[in-house]
Amino acid sequence: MEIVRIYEDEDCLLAAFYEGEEDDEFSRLFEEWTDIEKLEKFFSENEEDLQRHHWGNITIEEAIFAVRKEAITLRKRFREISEEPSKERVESFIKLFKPLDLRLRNNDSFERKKVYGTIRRSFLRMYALRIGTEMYLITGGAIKLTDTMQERKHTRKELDKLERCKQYFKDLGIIDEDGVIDLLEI
Amino acid sequence: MKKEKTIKEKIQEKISNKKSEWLDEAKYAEENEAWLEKSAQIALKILRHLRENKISQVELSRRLGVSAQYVSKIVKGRENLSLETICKIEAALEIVLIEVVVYGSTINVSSMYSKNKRGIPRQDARSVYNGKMVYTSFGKYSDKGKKERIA
Repeated sequence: MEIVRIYEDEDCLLAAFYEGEEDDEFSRLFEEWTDIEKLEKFFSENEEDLQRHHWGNITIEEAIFAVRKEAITLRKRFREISEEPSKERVESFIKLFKPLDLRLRNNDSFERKKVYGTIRRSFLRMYALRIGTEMYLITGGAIKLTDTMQERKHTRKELDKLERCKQYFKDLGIIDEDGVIDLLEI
Repeated sequence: MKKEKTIKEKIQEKISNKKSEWLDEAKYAEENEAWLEKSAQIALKILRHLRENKISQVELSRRLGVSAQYVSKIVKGRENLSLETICKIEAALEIVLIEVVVYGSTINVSSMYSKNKRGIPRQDARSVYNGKMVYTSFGKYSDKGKKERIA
């Protein structure tokens, strides 16, 4: 695994680049969320989940264009943030990145975070680890159709990726086995 | 404060020199948003037709006389398709992909080129304009089928 910068010379937004992948995770997500062939395949395979009450009577075609539209709006937001001064950017990220699990909300470094898409019943999730207060590492993302991530293979995989990235920092000695930053670093 | 700087420095050491393509791709997508939207709509219409009629992309490429890789690019919804290509796909799948508004009426582009032996556009090239049937060429028909010439 490698870590790449998204905003050229800035370190505030990073992404995991997993071995065997063609793109870093941040680029891959926007590529997949705007690829009509991939979206059509995904929703055809997950049509039953789409029929849940939560999604109303949305058709596969409507879902595809809803995802695409959300992805375009989210991409614009991240592009706009790239042009903001550093201080404003930190504030923008604080608003954008929410805790992954509200029950486990904490201010630890390496807290698991998520970004929602841009509509109230959003299909999109981007997953990240917050490093300190100013850096975010994108670990992956998904189209989430169920209430919990554990319910489907493609979202369980994203939980694994979050852990894999945390392990990467443990292996570097930046955090210990309990996920706590080594106080000797002070 | 110092602790965070140390962590930051450690991580900075691990950041790859590989450049993410994301920002360039985002700018390109924003600059080309209008036609990319239409390309995506065309791609979806093709894909749903293929799925509903159990036609493979390979079969479509054979009908079009193009490579399977090219069809794969089209159905991603990022190809800047020419009118010629669109008309070929419409003919190959016998579907309408795009329509054009002409003088307040909507016409199917590929049928603009489809005429009977008298040079009159075929049925699907007709449309309604001010409650009357019209053709896409400059010959006009009333709703009763009586031909009038447009001055």
